[in-house]
Amino acid sequence: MKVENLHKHFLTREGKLEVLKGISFEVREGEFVSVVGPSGCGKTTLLRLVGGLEAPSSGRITIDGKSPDPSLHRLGFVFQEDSLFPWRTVWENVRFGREVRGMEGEREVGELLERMGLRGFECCYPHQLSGGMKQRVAIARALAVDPDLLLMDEPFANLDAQTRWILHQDLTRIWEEVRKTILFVTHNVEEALYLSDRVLVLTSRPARVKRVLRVGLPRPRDKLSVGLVKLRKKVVELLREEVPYL
Amino acid sequence: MVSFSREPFYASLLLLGVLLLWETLSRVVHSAFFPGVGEVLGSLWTLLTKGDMEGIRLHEHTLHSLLRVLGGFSLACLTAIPLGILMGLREGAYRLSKPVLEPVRFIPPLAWIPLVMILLSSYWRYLFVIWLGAFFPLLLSTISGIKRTSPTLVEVSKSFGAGKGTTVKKVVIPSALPEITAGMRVGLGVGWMCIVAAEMMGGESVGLGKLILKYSNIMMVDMMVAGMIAIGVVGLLMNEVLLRTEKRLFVWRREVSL
Repeated sequence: MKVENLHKHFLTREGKLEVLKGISFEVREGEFVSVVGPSGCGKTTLLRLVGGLEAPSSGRITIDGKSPDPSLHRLGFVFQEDSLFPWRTVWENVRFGREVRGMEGEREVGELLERMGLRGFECCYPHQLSGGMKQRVAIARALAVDPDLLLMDEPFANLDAQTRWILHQDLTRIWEEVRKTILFVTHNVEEALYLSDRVLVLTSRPARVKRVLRVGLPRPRDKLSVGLVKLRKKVVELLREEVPYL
Repeated sequence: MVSFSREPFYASLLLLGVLLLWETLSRVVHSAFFPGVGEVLGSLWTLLTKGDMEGIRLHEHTLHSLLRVLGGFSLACLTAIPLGILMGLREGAYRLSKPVLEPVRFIPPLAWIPLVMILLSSYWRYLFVIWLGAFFPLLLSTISGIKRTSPTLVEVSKSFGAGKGTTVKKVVIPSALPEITAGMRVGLGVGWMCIVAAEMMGGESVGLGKLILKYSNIMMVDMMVAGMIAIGVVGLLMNEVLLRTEKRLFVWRREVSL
């Protein structure tokens, strides 16, 4: 997936709101890349552009050489907020993407649920699940279409710290099993460093790529390890240049 | 707070209290035009077993009234729901139609009766008045339900590459269904309330509304009240049936509906 000189602005009542200014980067197949940056810098917008939910104002995005198109490419989106269909059970929710794309086969759904630790909850409705479980279902649903690219927008932001840590481990485990290409947006530096191969640090709005850091540590990582803490310091220093009060 | 299991007990107590109050009042007023509980219950029994002055029994009246209401109501569903869906989906459609819809909406169905008497005949009169009563609550609920679809859910659908039609079918309509059925309940209730007035203008001698009218002509208040109670009970039962069905269908909701 390639992003070339991407610009994005929105037109508001006050005039032109420039959100992204000249963003360029690449994500190779099977890579886990995180995007961190100050709040409101446009991380979510970037993700939506890559996923084809919005169109760039100028510049180019290509996935396997073509412009992002949710009906063409197989994309898996995991949103931050509650995104499960309340009238569908866990099983039916996970199945949704496959239904839309005409993908047959119930076995895959079962396997995925098993992998995400959701066995026994297939017939439950979202309102019966905890926040952590709901996000697991959301991830399973995104994975169910066997996506070329997994796009995750601060998926664990609304969860408590303990649940988050568990899901960090689970996500790492699953990624190692399925090796999907993941673009992960978060404001949580530690999370980004724990999960990804590379971390993109954005400037404040209008955002461009400030720095790209490679996380060369072997998985599973330890959030308290010297290597990770060192990287964390580096990223926070970079962010402090953008937002002094951090 | 009243404990859950004790609720039926307290509810019956309340009902008994109201009946007692009624009986007391009727004894105090002591008029032929203010029947007591006993008289009304007696009239109710007569209506059930022997029928009214023409021998038409309660279940026949009820059946005819029900059929009329269900006819008008079905028509309302078939017109209001599709229209509501279309209007809900199209931005600005509701706004545009407001100058036309709003004034009409506020004319009570009852106000249409004189016009209906002139323009339509027999069964069509009932159908129209009841349709009118049920149509607007249904339409508005449907539009509201559609418009209230969570944008996030629509985005989820889009992110999987679903087209507009698929999204409407798989996301928008299921999401709006609870509100649509709530509108159906209200619409049916309004329709049922219109039946009395509607029947008062019709020519047939069957119908719960007609029953009340027949006895009001000869000032037999106990029979009238019996008819009123019958109307209330049937309305209550219909509402209950719909509520139970709703609860069963919408097992995935945890809110309580009235």
